[in-house]
Amino acid sequence: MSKYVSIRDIAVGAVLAEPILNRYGHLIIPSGTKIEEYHLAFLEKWGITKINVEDEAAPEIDPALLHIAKERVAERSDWKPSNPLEEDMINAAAKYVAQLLSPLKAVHESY
Amino acid sequence: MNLIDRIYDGIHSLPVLPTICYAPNDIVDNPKLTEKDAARIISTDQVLTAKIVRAANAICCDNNGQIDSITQAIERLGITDVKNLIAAFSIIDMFSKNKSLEYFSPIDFWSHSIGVGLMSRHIGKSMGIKNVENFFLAGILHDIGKLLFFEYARVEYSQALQLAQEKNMLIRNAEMEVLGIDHSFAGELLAEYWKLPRTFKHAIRYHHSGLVEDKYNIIVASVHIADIMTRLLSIGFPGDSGVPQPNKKVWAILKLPPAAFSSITPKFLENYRSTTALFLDH
Repeated sequence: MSKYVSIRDIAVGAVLAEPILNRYGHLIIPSGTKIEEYHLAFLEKWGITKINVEDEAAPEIDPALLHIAKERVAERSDWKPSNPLEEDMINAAAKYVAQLLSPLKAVHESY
Repeated sequence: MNLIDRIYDGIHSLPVLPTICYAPNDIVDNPKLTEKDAARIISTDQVLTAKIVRAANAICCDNNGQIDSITQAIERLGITDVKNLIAAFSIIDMFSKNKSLEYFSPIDFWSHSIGVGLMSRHIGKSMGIKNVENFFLAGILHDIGKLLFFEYARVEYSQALQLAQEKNMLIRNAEMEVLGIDHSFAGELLAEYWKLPRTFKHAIRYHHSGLVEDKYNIIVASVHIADIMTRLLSIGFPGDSGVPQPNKKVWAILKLPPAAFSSITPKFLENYRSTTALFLDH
C-alpha cells in the first residue's frame, strides 16, 4: 500500500513508491529511494508538492496482548458476535486497544 | 415548569439554524446554487474558507492528494457536504459554552459524535456508495438531544449520568428512568425546530434501532452501526461505557464487504485525529 503525501508532511526515511519524473519524462528519483532531507529541498525547487510513498509497515501485534485486548473489548459488551461482521467489529477494536496497551507492556517489561 | 416544557422552551430560545451559520443564508438555503457560486460566496469569508479546506482534507484523507482550495473541496466532498460542514461548525460553536457536568464534558460528547460521523461516512464508502454526502453530519447530530439535557436539565441529567455509571446502564435507559424521555426524543424536537432534512431527523430519532419505523434507511443504519463501532473503540464518551448489540435487521441493509471494519479502522483513526483537532481546538 502506498499513499500520496504532501512533501511538507514527509518524514525523512519514507520510501518512494513510484519514480519521480520531470515534466519531460526524465527520471529524477527512482522508486524505492529512501527520502533524505536534500531530496525534499530538491523536490520543492522542482515545484513537486506531493509524492507517492509506501505506508509504514504496521508493527506485528503480540498475540498475547491481542488476547487481553479482545477480552477487554468483550467485557464492555454483553453480547456475543452473531455474524462475521460483528466478529470483525470486535477484532478491529481489539487490534486498536492492543496498540494502546503495547507501550504499557514495554514499560512494564523494562523493570 | 416540567422538564419537557423546559426543554421545549430551551429549544425555542436557540437561534434558527441558517441565521447562525457563518456564511450568508443563500449558501445553506438555496438548492439552485451552482458549485461556482457557492465557491465564490464562501471565498469571501477567508476564515470559513480555510476551515472548510482543512476539514475537507481531514475528512477525505484518501489517496487522491491534498485539497488546496474551496473549489477542490466542493469537487471532492460535494456541495451538500460543504454546506453540512458549515452547519456542523455552527452547531458545535453554538453549544461550545456548555459547562461540563461531573460525569460528562462537551469535549467527550463531540469526540464521540465526530467519531460516529466519520465512521458512518467510512461505512457508506465501504459499501461502494459513490455519493456519501450527509453521512458525516448525520453522525455528528445523532446524539444532539443529550446537549439539550446538558443545557436545560442539568440536575436531572447529572442524576441520569450517575445512574448509568453506578448501575452500568446505557445512558438512554438511565435518561428514561430519571427524565422520562431519552435523547432521541429530545433531539427530534430540536430537529423539527431547525427544520432539518428528514435524513438527519431520522438519524437522531432512530439511531438506537437503526430502522425508521421498521423501514430501511441506509444512513440511519450506518449511524446505528457507527455508534456501536465508535463505542467499541472507546472514541470519546457518549455518557456510558456500554456497547449495545447491533440490530440484526440492520445487517440486511448494509451490504458491507467481509472484514470491512478491519480495513476501515486504521483509516478512520487517521481521519479522527485530524478532524477532532480541527473541530475542537479553540
